[in-house]
Amino acid sequence: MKISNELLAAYAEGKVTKEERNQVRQYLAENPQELESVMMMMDEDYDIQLDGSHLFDYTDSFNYELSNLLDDVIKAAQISLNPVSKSVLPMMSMAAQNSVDNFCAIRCEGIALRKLGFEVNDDELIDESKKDGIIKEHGTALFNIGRLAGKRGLNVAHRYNCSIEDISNALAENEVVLAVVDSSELRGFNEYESDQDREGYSPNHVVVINSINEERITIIDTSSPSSEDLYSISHFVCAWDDSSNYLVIISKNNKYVPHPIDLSEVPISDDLLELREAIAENAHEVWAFNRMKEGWSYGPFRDDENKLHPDLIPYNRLPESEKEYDREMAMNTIKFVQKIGWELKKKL
Amino acid sequence: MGLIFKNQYAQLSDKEVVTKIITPPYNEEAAAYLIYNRYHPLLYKIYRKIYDNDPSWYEDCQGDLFDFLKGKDLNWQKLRSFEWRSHFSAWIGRTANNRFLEIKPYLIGKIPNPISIDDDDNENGSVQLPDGGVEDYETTQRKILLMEAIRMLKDSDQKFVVLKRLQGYNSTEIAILMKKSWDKHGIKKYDNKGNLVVPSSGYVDVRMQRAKIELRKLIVTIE
Repeated sequence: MKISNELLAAYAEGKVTKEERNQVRQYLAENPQELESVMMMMDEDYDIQLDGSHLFDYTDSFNYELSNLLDDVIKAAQISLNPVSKSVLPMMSMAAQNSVDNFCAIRCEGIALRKLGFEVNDDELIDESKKDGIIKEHGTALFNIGRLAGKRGLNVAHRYNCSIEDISNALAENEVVLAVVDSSELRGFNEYESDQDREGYSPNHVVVINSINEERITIIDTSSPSSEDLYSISHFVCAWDDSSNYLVIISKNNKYVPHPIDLSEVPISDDLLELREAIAENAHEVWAFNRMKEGWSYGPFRDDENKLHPDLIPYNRLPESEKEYDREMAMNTIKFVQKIGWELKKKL
Repeated sequence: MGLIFKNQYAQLSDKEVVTKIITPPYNEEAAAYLIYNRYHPLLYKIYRKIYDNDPSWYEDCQGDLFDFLKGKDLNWQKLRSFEWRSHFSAWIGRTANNRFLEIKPYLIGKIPNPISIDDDDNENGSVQLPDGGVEDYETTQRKILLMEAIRMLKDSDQKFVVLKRLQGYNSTEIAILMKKSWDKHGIKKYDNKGNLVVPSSGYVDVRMQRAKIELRKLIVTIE
């Protein structure tokens, strides 16, 4: 197949008919070495050069970089199959998926541990995280942030839908606050890019909150050259929103205040309602089986010393109040799975 | 190359300069201006890539390109054949790239050049580069679509960063190039504190990351 220089140049600028485009595609498929020419023709600033001292090695950089970019774009597709939205908690998202070394979550935990008096260094923590499976290829899943602190006996709270006030309160209690943000939005220059669509950006970066007041927030960003970065609250919230305002709060306090995820708005289909009863019954079966294995048996009243329990009876004979307890647990499990972006489908 | 031109061409568009060249009695000075002045940075960059940064044969390449565009009949037939379907820079770059590659063995090897200056690129196959290994067809097709997606990037900074990365520059180098590009095009950007933005490697990395997200969206829309 023969393609003129002019047709190839027109293709590079998108000025071809559908038929011509297919011809050029066929030509490029047969002559992949010509892709570099296409790149060159696309670059209106191809003539801009560095000073002599910056001359780089041209050797096959194009093929190498194009292959890398292709991998990254495909990888990005896999990561963003379930784009973040306000209705889904990004619990399975990976922090640090686009940072230089993927270790921001671990480095932030290192900062937290040192603030709380532990002598740790980041390299050791990274090794430990790899060994424990906390860090994966693309970063650290949001629900895994804080595991290193938890291993050291500290209180760790994973909380979604937090407010700026929650951050202030935690800092006032001398707790260490880690926040998950969209790094692009945090570091972006919002003034002239405010028209860009931010939906679907990943919560991909962990920072440590250092201080906060009504207008400003200071953070430690492990990928920033500064020891501390200052942002307006609105700028920070814009980046923080992408994680559904997720915080990991680490402290030495023994105070425990449960913060269950609000599942009230998660819709449940009729199919899943049927599933609720089945899950509730099986949960009872599992509980009873384990109790009996440990030597417990039926008794009209609970007796821990003699291992007697009034609920060690078939599910259908349980009082409604006990069944409701199991049903609520089942329902919460189903809703939770959906809330974090998973789908439950009946196998036909 | 410190050529001095009797006439002023800097204010003329490419099309106006080319018209001067191809209209009898043929303005060779205008052709020299295009090759030795206006497109010298582009041609020299293409040359350096092909000739491994050795400047020894650049003037030979410029002279050959001049003769090639002029043609055997001295009527600038090659230049005349350009129908302005793309920017002139894209076409001259592509033409020079092929020509520089073709004459390289003869220049470096000091072999007499048997390649006719009247070879018609419509009739010749592509210039074969050294075989870089066999790549599977599907991967090549994906790369073609990726290149089309890159062309479709609307954000000029994102496009700039991707194209420069493909040329092998690192983030720090791209930041320097971007500054030059902004200066060249008279672009000034300000951050949300009103400070003038100077592109940094971090700025480049953020654009690169956003470009990847955009490319993912674009690539699935290509027919």
